Amino acid sequence: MKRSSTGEIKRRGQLASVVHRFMKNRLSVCGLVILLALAIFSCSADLFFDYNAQAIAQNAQARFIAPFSEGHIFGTDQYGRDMFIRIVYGGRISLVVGFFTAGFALVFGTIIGAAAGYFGGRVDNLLMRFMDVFLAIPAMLLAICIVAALGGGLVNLLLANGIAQVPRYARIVRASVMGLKNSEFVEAARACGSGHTRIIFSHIIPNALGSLIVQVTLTMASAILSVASLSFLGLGIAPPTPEWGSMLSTGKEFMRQAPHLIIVPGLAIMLSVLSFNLIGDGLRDALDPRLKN
Amino acid sequence: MPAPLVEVKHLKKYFKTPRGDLHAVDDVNLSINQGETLGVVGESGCGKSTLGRTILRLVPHTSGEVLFEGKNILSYDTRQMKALRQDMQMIFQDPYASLDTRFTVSQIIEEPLKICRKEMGKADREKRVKELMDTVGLAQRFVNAYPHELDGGRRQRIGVARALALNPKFIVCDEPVSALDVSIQAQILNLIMDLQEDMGLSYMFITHDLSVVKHISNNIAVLYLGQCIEHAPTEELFANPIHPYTKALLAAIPIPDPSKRSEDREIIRGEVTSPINPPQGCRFAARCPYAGDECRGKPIELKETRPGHFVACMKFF
Amino acid sequence: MGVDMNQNAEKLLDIKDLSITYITDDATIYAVNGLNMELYRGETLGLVGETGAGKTTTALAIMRLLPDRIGKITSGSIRFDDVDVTAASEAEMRTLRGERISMIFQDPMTCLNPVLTIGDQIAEVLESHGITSKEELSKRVDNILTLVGLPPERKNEYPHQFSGGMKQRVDIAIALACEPQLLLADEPTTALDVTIQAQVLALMKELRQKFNTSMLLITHDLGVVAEVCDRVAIMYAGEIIEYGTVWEIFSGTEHHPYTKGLFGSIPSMSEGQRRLRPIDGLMPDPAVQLQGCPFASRCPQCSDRCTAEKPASHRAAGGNIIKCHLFEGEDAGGGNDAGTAG
Repeated sequence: MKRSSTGEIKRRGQLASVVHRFMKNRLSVCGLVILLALAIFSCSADLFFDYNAQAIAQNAQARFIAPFSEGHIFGTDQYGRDMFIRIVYGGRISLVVGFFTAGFALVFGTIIGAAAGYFGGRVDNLLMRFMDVFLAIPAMLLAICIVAALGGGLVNLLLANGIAQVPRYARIVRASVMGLKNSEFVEAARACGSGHTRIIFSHIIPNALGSLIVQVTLTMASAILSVASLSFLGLGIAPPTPEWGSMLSTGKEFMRQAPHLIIVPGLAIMLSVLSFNLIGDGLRDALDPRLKN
Repeated sequence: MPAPLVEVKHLKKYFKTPRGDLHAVDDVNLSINQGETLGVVGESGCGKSTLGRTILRLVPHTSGEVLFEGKNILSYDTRQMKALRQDMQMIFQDPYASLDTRFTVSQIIEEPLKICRKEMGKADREKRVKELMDTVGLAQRFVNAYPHELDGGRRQRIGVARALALNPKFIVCDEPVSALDVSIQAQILNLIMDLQEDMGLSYMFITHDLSVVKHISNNIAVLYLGQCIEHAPTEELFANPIHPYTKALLAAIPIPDPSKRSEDREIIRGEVTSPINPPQGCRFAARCPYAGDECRGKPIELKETRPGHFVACMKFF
Repeated sequence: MGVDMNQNAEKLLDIKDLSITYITDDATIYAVNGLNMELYRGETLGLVGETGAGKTTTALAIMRLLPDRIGKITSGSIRFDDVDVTAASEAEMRTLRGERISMIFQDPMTCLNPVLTIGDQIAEVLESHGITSKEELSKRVDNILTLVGLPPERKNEYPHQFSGGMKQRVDIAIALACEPQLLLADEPTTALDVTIQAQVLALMKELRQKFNTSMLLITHDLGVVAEVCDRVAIMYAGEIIEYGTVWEIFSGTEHHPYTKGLFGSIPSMSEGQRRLRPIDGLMPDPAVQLQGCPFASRCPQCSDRCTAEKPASHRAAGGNIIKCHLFEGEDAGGGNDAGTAG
């Protein structure tokens, strides 16, 4: 325990203690490092590579080069483009898609679900029936509709994916909020004069987060893949822009002759999802002081 | 005689259920003087916790009045209520459930200050938390501890410190010791009594345990199915219980003395009847060995038998 | 009454020098440390102590239901009638449980299955112990329900349709279904209201006399002990620190400092004193194996010897057995019938 110069025990703020507990979990720190490395490398790729010349331009002489040969560590694809550079550039879109889809769904789903669960009655009915309508439409179909209505492009793609996920989050949050709102510690907070906002945001949501974080990591992975499906239908990211999902789906055709075309983007998706997962687990434990210190 | 600090007049709280109204609190009249303790006794389901929560406006009331320093607080709006929260606090039964497990000890104690004393700086708040921890006997080394790392007695001390943070005048104690071991229970009871002497607090002490209430209360109200059936100063109630239910309650307590075994004592039959649409008349009549026709059909009023001793019974008064 | 009667009676349960540890990833918890206990046919022994004293662990060990892999009996023996519980096979234990030993739990809800009617649940116990004919089963279920004061018509109802007190009656009915020789009651009335507690205690007393069942009553409530027990064992930090008949414990003059503290802590109904006299401090951390007396850190009469050396059991003048250095040399007679540490 830290002691200040006067010999008194230093109080630790809520955020500081969460960070402290997160840092103690080696695996999650590992995940964070991997994710940060991926993100930083993707963003600063222009410093090392030339996007137009190396990631987009085709080179018919150098097709299907196997990994670790002729200066291409991940080999080349069916058009002779360097896989490594495409993965690096593809990370820009895929990581953003994964992160923002989950973030969007998390924020809006939590607000809607918390409001429905906390206030109950008419608010609950209105919000949840609206969510049910969304749930009744397959997520993919909904995303297609939204993109078709709003037009393509990254922002609309993110919105489409995010909106399609909101109802799931709202359902999960509502269920745990309904259980938590009658607990004694919430009543204690009311007795101290806390308003609804404070109760929802500082007492109820932190306690409901555990079940959400698992869902978040799942959403991230599926978002990356669903962008690929939308791209395939011509609604997402148009080729030749590199993006992990579409690299994976076009690579499928050449699976037998050049398996690295699916293995490499597959590994990239796996690695980022894995690090999201590790971070998620660590975050869940860090937010709940009852689990291991 | 000075006006009482808290006065409850004809307070009713009904919950709507699919089978009809649940009469949790039904026409209860009570008063608590400055610096005194009112013990509220009854079995589970008699509405004693709902009564405490309705008085603090943690649940909305159905009808009636609660006067605090002469003003009816049930008509207060949100802003007035927030100001009033500083004067009325609550200590909860379950020291496990009433503390948010994600907050440290100091964060829990600090919370009411953050909400109601916005003008206080961080350093002042920290100082106050330290003071409070000293007052309730929590060592400073626990500032960063989480509730789950502490034992039941220490957790209940956190609950007491939180209730004291805003210097309240009146505290509702809802079974504050019933989840604790006997040796710890005694520590917390002593603490609650010491605080009353030092700060002139008034308590409403809700419990099912008559032996605890005898120690701590000036007056006792016995509740049965939402109604107050007997109300008297503590000594008077224990010396001369009049209502058959009060007598049964007293007789049912196992006494730690084998020479007073209850072989010859009367055990009351049956169980508490449903509080949903209860019949008119005495609600204890279904279990009462003395009940007659006059006990049923019409409401029974509390009447004063001796100065300060009120009873609602047709047979014995 | 008390010890004298019991010396002629037959021992039903004999626990010698029992130690139990829980081994978890973080620590080893020494839950029970060298416990000696005897229970005679037809008598009720009260096991009194605070949370974490090891009362429930002891009861689970008698049933051999300690959590797999985590809970271990590290030394000592438990003998039930003619069976060595620590060495018996799992098949032997299964016939023992329910048929000869049964248990009542604190929370009447946890041991009833919410999706089965109570009649079916009682029948299930009878069936697993060899009663198969439909009429016989139905007749026995009706009998048992009447016995515990419930109308047999209600046997087709589900647990949620009963109140807490009634559920505890159903629990007792299930526990008594096979007329066991030993009933382990773990805080059977703690979750109940006083008036209902009085009813349940009276019921248990009546049934025990009827079937001559022995009972180990685990509780923290000294009032309940005074009401129903023949003998009392006071448990602290995994050890029995005082042992005697209910009269010796409740009216004798010489007691273990912890026992005195325990009595000082109860708000008395008869005396007028306002401040209670609690025991300061907390129970020692069960993850640390203590050298001396477990109560030393809270004891007002603690000496250097107490922290260094485990006290032996001594018989006090009143006849009760006390595990404390203060009573050394006071042994009144060769009190060795119980509670003597190895």
